[in-house]
Amino acid sequence: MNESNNEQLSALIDGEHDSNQTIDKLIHDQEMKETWSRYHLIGDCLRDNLPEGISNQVYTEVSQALRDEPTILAPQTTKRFNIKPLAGFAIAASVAMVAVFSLQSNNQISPAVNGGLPIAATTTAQPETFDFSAPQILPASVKMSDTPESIADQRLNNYLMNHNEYRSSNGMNGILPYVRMVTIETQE
Amino acid sequence: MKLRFHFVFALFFLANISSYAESNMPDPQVLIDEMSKASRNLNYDGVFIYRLDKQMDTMRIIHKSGGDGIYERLISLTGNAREVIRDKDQVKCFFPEDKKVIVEKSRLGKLVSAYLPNPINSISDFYNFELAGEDRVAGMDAWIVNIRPNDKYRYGYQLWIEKKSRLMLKSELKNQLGVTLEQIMFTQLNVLENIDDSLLQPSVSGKDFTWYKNVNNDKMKIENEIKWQITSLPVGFSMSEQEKEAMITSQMPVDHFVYTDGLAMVSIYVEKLNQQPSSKAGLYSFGGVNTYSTHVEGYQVTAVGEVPKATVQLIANSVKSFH
Repeated sequence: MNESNNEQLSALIDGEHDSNQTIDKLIHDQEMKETWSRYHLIGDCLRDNLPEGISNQVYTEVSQALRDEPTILAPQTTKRFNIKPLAGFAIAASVAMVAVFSLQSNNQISPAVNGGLPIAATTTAQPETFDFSAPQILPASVKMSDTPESIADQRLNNYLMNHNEYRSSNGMNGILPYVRMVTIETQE
Repeated sequence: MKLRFHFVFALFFLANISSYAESNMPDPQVLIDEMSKASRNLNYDGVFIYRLDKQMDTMRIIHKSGGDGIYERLISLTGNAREVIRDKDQVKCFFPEDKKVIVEKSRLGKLVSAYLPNPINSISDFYNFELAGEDRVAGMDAWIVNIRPNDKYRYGYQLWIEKKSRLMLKSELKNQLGVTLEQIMFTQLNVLENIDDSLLQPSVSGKDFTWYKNVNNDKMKIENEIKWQITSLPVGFSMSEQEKEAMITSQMPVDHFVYTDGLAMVSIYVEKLNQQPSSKAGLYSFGGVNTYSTHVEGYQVTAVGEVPKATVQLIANSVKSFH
């Protein structure tokens, strides 16, 4: 690895590099990847940001984790569920789950990519236009259907709500399960 | 002589440091135990932020612990003004946007043990507890406690516990890589001598709302009862409860098994599939909660829990009928 590569890496870490070339190189060059990790380690060390246990193989670990969990990386098709209430209890819960699923489909980039390797996630994906991605809004009059699939959705909703109550009465974070339920709405 | 004096002084100084450490650094497991008790037994009113991936919400919680039980009110301050009101008998969830109220049986205080299902020392076989440092949250000083799982079947937690009241000020749910899946952080929290009952009333009367109750009814028929067993569990998980639950989507009660390692909790639901062959099989996740469904002999088996995907998958796939 040469001096200019080192300089490019430094610039990239400092956010002063505007060419994708370094990133492309970085992706394919094992030595550069290691240097990249070391630079971050040094930076974290200087800023006193180090966790108690430190791994020098963050890149490998993140890559491995991404391979192990292809579901969170692969762009998921947007799921829309048309839910007909079988009975009252299911309604709001279903609404909740619609939101849950739309929430899922919104998250195409895993937190591991965002948190672990900011380069890949932020620098290569430069949107042409600034996009305030609006929350998915479900029309108030969602057409209901009585498909087996919607029944299956409701079943899952019921399980989640039921589990919530057990969890909240039994766990450390008594309120957390309800926090989840209350928060779901913003995805509607 | 002078040297000797220094030596004695140094010894004295060292002894002082270690006693300082002993008296002021709490044991992390004791801290968590105290946190659980505090969150149950104190009266408090606070505002916190809940973050899930890119989404952020603010909520207010009011918690009252009186002689006749615990009352809790959770209000969403962002988006729709949803509210959850809990007492020892009922949980009422108000959805003003749909004019609906869902009522469920409360399980508050139903368990024999305190807030934690098991004494904390039995959990220490599966998690490491460490005091990770000090911080300031919501204007208050806090201890940071790390709870690290010993295997890949559990999530980790990082908790900020207020030094005086022992209330939780911040919590992060983390996966194996240390990536935060969910976060709660108080921005304001007041411990109060007393909480006025009016603060525990929902802001909407719910008069023109539709009320839905999900309570067990005896009319549910139980036929050809099959016994189920879970044949594979990560080490440390044991059954804490087994019940038959009434579910609106099922004519028959659903078998419900609750397994816990003392911290994480997994529910397993076994439900007979009637004329609904195409049901959801596979993995779904919502924040820190993962679910996995599979089919066994005409039944749907679903595992739900605040555990990694591998855990719900392993458990659900291991459910067999018992002959």
